[in-house]
Amino acid sequence: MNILELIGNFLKLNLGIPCDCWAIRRSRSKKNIETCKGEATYDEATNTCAHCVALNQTIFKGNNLPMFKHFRCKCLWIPTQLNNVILDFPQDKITKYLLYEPNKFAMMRSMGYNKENANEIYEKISKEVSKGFLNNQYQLKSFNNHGQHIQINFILDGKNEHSHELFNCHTGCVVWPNGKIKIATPLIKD
Amino acid sequence: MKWLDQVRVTVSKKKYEKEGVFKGAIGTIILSEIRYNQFEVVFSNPDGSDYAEIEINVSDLELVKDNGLSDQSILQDLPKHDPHWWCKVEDGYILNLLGEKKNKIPYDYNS
Ligand SMILES: [Zn+2]
Repeated sequence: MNILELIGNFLKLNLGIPCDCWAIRRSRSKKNIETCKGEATYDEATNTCAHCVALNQTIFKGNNLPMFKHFRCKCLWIPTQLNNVILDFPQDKITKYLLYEPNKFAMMRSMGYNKENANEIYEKISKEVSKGFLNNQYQLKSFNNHGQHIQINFILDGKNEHSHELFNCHTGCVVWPNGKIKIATPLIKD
Repeated sequence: MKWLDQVRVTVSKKKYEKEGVFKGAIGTIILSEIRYNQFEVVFSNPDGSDYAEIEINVSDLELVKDNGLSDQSILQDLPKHDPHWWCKVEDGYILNLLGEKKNKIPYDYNS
């Protein structure tokens, strides 16, 4: 990005004009959803509201970002780069939940997945979430002091007796600072 | 009770019912940490979709099925992997991974 492009993007981002670059949100606060351990709170030091703390240092595409602003909001969107995302996704969410909780397991079985396919499904979800975010194929969902929730849709290949079938699925995530994506709901079949 | 265990709601409360969660509903503890004496619990339909994800007081829950997760696994999910977080309920006590008890009197979680 040259300097003119940078200034142009900066203006677009902060005037709410869709822009094709990545953008990082900056408030004056040092706090963010991660330092607040998942639940943003008001920052007295800089008089920053919990919502702005929840978005502080998060990165989104300039044409697909949370529009949250309030009277005298000092937060800005700054053009940035994003080449990869960091996933917060414990494997237990697959082995001890998706392939374990009776309703979730029934859903997985309806697509042919078994407990022995745990690694494969973990890798698949990880790949689709990273790819979906980086390709701007995410939808903004609810926003609160637990952060900006997003949904990523993808097509999952069936397995075993359901191989040759395709299933529309989605994953629910929360956007954390500096390109970190926390996977909340690992998989829902639509 | 701890992360990813299956739990049952033991009371009727307006704040749960307005989210579609009634006494007897069975859900899964979806976040490892306890905040304000509450677990975050997700409730799903037979097709695997979720109909509610809400915070429920630990005193309004009972264990249905222990998932057998190790402390090491819970630590993986705790914010900042901090073992000081309250994350388990055993015999009326809220505990952290260091074995410390939050409440003094069993089953009185505010004591
Ligand atoms: Zn602000």
